[in-house]
Amino acid sequence: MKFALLITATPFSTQGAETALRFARAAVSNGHSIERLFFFRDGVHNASALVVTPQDENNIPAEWQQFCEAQKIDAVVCVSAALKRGITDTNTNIPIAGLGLLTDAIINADRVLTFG
Amino acid sequence: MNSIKTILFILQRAPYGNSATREALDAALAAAAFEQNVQILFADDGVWNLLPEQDASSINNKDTSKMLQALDYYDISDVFVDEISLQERGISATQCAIAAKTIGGETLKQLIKTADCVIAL
Repeated sequence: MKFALLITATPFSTQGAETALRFARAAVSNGHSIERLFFFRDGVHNASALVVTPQDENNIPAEWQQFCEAQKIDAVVCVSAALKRGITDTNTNIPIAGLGLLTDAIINADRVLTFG
Repeated sequence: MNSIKTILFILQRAPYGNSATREALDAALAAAAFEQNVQILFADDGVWNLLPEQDASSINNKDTSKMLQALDYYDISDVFVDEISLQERGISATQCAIAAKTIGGETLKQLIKTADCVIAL
């Protein structure tokens, strides 16, 4: 099955982003595919290249970056949501793009899941 | 993007104090611009968005009921409002700033069931 993930949860303050990451990993490891990850609303912080965490804490944006790179996952950040939140410098595997790509993901995916 | 899907956006947050409605509308209008069959359902505190003559200027915000006028320009006519949510808040359907069809019970379940994709923000 092809899943599209709409991630509106911010990392650290909420659990949603980590849950989305775990879902995405589980989907891929069980033979499903990810049509696209779309980071929207406060979820845009997941794509920030500027996040620094203490060594003993999970760096979720870095984990997304590694996951997208290793699995060749299509992932984008909503431009309007990102710019309003000062996210202009995103991780290399998660470029900034328009909301049209959310529509495109909805059209092409079998299921769309929102993690807020 | 050549296939058309029915995408139901459920707006369930109050107009001010968060950006949920504004950003959900951004997503809905984008989907409509790509010629998808967009439906909007106002439920829970989302029904407050439908009240007319909101004055958001005192908190430097935009009047959400005015933003809803844009739905017409994007040919989004399937706009629904949950009747229970209206009742719970003492709002009558005739007060709504835009024409939203009151929906509840089985019809509401069918609306959600028949959509290809449901996005609740």
